[in-house]
Amino acid sequence: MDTETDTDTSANSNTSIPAHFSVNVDKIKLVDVGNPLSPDAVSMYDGHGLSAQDRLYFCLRQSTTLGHCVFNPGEKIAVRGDRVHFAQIVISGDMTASDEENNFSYGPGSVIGLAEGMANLPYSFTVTATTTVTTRFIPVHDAQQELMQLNAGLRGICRTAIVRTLGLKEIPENLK
Amino acid sequence: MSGFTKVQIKEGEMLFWAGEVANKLYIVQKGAIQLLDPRSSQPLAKVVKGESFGEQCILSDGIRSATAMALEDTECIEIGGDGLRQLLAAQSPLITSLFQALLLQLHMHNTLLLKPKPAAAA
Repeated sequence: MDTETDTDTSANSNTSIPAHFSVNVDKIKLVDVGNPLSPDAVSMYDGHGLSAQDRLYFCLRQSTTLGHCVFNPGEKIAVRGDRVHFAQIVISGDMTASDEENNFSYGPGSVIGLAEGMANLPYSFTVTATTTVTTRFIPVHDAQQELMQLNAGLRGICRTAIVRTLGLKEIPENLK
Repeated sequence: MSGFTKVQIKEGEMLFWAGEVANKLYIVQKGAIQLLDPRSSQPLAKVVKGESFGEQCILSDGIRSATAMALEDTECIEIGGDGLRQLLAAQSPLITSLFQALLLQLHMHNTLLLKPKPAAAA
């Protein structure tokens, strides 16, 4: 992958190549494979060689608190309309995602169902593994409980991210 | 949290660019800000009075994923990221992961220009 994000936003159900999202795993490997404190790794990290999404993926992959999950090829990771119990952060593998109108291709760094789950909304997309997919997961109920205990300022930032991600016009009732 | 500063941005001016180090959060007091995709310059979101943007500053190594431009003469409150980061550091690791994953999902939706259509619950 040559670019920071391999993306084609022009695709929809009428085109053969779906839009794709993935972090730049090759670049991230340079930082953490071998010696993560090597001059090259530190230079890349400090010198913003990683994009915003690369950094977020890097931190989430290193998390010591999130559980792991594996999905086999053909297995459904999410079904549009189903309730979200566990949001998934994709560490490796490829998936297809679709709703009633659009098809997308997801890769490492994709996040499935988190904003929806936090807002008590069902999955927006059906996501199916096309290769073996490994994820870290966030238990939505636990995250909602902790969010309610948060300082108002942090909670507001979280709420803004959820509303903007889902393109909502109003703040969901459970986040007010 | 300390260090609230008011900033004035004239119509058409950029407040920050994608790729810059994110060290401040903004709340719109007057006017409107357009967040733009750095690759296509397509609008990602319009931020109006009372709404915040620049959430990447909450992460210690966050960098801007979008460019912010004033749609009209705009006034924002600027909040230093240090105080927010201290608040976040005092929370559980799950909350830190939640913020990181939400910002990653927001970035994914912006990249794919996803506008989720509500699904009826099964």
